[in-house]
Formats: sequence, structure tokens, C-alpha cells
Amino acid sequence: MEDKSKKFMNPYLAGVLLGFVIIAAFFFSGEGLGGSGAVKDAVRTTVAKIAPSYAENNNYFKSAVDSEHSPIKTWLVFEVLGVLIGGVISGAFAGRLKLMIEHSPKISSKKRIIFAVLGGILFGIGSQLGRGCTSGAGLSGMAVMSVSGFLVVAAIFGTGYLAAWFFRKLWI
Amino acid sequence: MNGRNLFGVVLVLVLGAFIAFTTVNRKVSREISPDELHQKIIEKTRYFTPEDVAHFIISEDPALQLIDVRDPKNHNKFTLKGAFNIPLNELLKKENLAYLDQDAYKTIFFSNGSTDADVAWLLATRLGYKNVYVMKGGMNAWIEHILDPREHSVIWDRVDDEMYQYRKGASKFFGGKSDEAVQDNAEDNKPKPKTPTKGKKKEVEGGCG
Amino acid sequence: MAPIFQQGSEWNLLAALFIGIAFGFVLERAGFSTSRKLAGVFYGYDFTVLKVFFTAAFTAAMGLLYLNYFGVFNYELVWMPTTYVVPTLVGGAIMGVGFIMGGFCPGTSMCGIATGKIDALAFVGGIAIGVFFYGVSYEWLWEDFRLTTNIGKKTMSEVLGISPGIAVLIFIIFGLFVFWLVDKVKKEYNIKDVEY
Repeated sequence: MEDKSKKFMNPYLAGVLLGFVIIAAFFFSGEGLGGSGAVKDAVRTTVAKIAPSYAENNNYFKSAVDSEHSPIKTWLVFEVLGVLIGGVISGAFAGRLKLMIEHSPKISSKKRIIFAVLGGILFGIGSQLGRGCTSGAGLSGMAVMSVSGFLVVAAIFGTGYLAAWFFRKLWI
Repeated sequence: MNGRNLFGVVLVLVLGAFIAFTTVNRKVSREISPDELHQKIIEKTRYFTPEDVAHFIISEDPALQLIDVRDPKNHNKFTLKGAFNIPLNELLKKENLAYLDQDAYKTIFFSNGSTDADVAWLLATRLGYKNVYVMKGGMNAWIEHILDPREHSVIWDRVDDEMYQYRKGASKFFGGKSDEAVQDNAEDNKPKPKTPTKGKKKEVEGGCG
Repeated sequence: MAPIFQQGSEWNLLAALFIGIAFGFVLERAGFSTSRKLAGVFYGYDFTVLKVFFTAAFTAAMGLLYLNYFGVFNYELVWMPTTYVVPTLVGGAIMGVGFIMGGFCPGTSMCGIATGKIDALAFVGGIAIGVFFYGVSYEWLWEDFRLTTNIGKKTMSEVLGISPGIAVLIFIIFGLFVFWLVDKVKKEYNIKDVEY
């Protein structure tokens, strides 16, 4: 256990570095970090490509049909590509690159996948309604001390703790 | 708590305590970017015609602030009613900026032509001041259009002899004789300052696209 | 003067890529590519998420204030979210349940994919389904609701009526208190580490 946890960075140091990354994002591009924006953009663009007439009539997908594409979305797509690359680099250094389904020994892989998809669906809906996910709305929002950022973090962690009891079998 | 954590806590608290007693500087933000400025320059919304200004003065518009950016000599000779004098070379003095740094009044700059007033407008806009305008054509246009649309030569003489002499000279040089020719030349001169703007526009647009 | 790059310029996209790489690297280093570590925060066996998260948030908040103090950063030119109280809380609550079920949030799931977690891939698939569902049901479920209780682009300092610097200092002290508290909780209740 001891040597395994050592492979992870000290959480406070990681936090400070992550803080610097957020500062860099604001300083160089004036944007906050994000995670869900890229997926959202991919979905909207796909819908606009496959069913343009449907997208045209839907207020949500409509903006993706316009040829004038919002640059922030593209920024987030590039940023998420970077996250993938950065994750691979770090994982390679730490020897953590391994194809696997990670789950508590008490549940099956199938169950884990089902709940991962369900959790993703909820995150997909919630992030659209809350205008960003944990990193986008929460972390970046808190960096500029916006009320929105604090509210979303309080809501995510608050509900997380409330719901934790119901899903405890998934994890412990 | 080990030593390293303690060090971190103290460092964060000291940095936090220092920044807590500073004020957030939002002033810098009001300086607008070259792009925005360029956009405002090519939009001609900053201009009021002398007729507009005359209308404001006659109707005693309470939100009107007329600023004469010519030198005091010219200002004392003749100016618009209620205008006060901030010579262009003193525009950036702190006490003068106080007149410009507000939203309540519409500030209209004027000079003999449009150029000096345009410069004043440009500086004020660059500083992020709102509600600043230019009287198009300046005092020359004012006299031509408002005071005496027909017999302008006499009053010209009084307002700005040098300018008048120059134009008279210029008119001769270009082969004109009458006062009308002088006026035509004045019109011809007007687009002159705009030409570099047009060139710049192309350049910037090319860069963006 | 920040922001350095213009929106939509190639340089900005390149910056996005590098910022993303740094983001992914730090997330992975901190251990955010594994859902069981992330979920640990809700069961008390691993508070890494909380520690990294709050440290990052107040470091960034303080850093931006410093940049502003030195005149190179300007809050009015950068992204600042508009606060819609109820939609944000409801959205956050939905995400909270999603977090405990899926064990990831979107950013960390990208990291999970990078290190080969198939469950992370499933999670991202789920997000896509969720976004699609949101889009399909947008007009009759969300469109009006998402615009309610708009209080504008408010910051904490404006709401609390204190200076931004003091607000950040309070945030820092609160964060440090939370760190102390979670360590104490873990020790007090003798919560075992979980092997993963």
C-alpha cells in the first residue's frame, strides 16, 4: 500500500499545480478549463451532421448547424485532446497504462459499466443544466470567485454525500 | 502536521493575507483593445453634425458637455455657447480627465476642423470613456452651416485667420479664385485623414480572416 | 495584458492543447484517473479529490488576484459565468448523483480513458447520451427552466459585500479548515484505506 500511494503526487502539491494550470488557461486564453464542453460539442455537431433538418428545428442543436461555430467550443475540444495526451504521458511515466475495467471486488464488471453509463447520462444532463461540469463550472468558476462555481460545487458534493449511502455497495 | 505541510499552510496564509488588503484593479480593463478601437473608428457613430449640436444648444440639453480642444487663444476669440476649453495638448491632465470620465453627459469635442477633435475622441475612447462624440467639421463647418451659410469669408477671417489664409493660398495654388472654390478645397481636404484608416482596415481584416 | 491570445486564433487553440496536456498530466498524477480514488471522498477512505480540488481552486483564485494586482490580468476580459441559482443547484444535484454512480466527472473520465479504463469510456459514452437526451427534451423540459433565477454575473465578494481579497482569504482559511477536518475525521473514525 505504502509504495503504491507514493506513485500519486501529494494532493496539495497537485492542487497547487492544477491551480497554476487554471491560471494559465485564464491568462493565455481567458477561458476556464472544462471537461463536458467537448463532448457536448461532439454530440451537437454529430446531430447537426446526421439529421440537419431535425437540428434546425431544435433550439438546442440549432446553434451547431450554423457555419459560424463558437470558438470557445473548439477551444474546449483542443483542451480535452490535451487532457488525453497529458493523461497518457503521466500514466506512462507512472506505469499505470493498462486496459481494464476498474471496480470494487464486490461488484461485477458488467454492473460497473452499467452504472458508469448511468452516471455519465446524469452528468451529461446535469452539466448542460448547470452550465458546466465539476471542472468547467466548479473549478473555473471558483477560480474567478463566481457564485455559480460555489453553488455547483456545493450541489455536486452535497448530493454526492447524500446519495453515497444508497450506492455504497458499488464502492466499499 | 509535518514540517512541509506547516510550511505550505503558512505560505498560503501569508500570501492570502497580503492579497486580502489589496484592491482589485478594474481600471486597466477599461482600456479597450486595438480591435475594438478600430471598430469604433470605422463606425462613424461618433459624429454629430453642427446642426445636431445647434439643436442641443438651443434646446438647452442638460446632458450636453461641449469641449473646445483648440488652444485658449482661439477659444477666447470665439467659441460655442457653454463650451469650455481643454486644449488638446492638455487633454491627459488629471483634472481635465475628470470631466471626461463619466457617463452622465454626452461629451462633444470640437476644433477648427474635425481632426483635433477626432484625436481627443480617440484618446478618450482608448481610455474607455463612454459617451464621447465629435462635432463633424468643427468650427469651420459650424460657421459655414450655422452662422452664415452664404457669406462665410468674413467670419472665417475672425475665427481662424491662419486657416483662412492657408485655404485661400491653397485655393490659388489649385487654380481656384472664388470663395466657392475655397469651400470646395476644404471639402476635398476633409477625406484626407480618413485614407490611412481605410488602409488599416484592410490590413487588420486580412489578418483576422 | 491577459488574455494573451485572441479567441478563435490558431495560437489560442495551440495554447488550449498545451493547457489541456498540463491539466491531464496533473489530474493523472494526482490519481484522478481511477474512479475508486475519486469515489473515496464520499466514503471517507480517500480525501484526495477534496484536497486537490480546493487547493487548486484557492490557488487559482489567489493567483488571479495577484496577476490583477500586478496589472497583467483583468477580470472583465475573461470568462465569468452568469449565476442562475436554481438551475445550477438542480444541475449540480443531478451531477452529484451521477458522480457517485459513475465514479468520474467529465474531466477525470478523459484522464481515465487515457490510462485505459474501459469504465471511463463507458462514462463518456453516457455523457454523450445524456447530452443527446438533454437536447431532445430541451424545448419541453429545460429551455425555460434554465433561465430562471438569474442573478447576473455575481461573484462571492459582491454577494457577501466584502472585498475580493478578503473573500479569497476566507476561502483559503475555509479550505485549510476542511483539510484539517477530513484528516481528523479519517483518523477519528479509523476509516481503513481501500486497496485499488
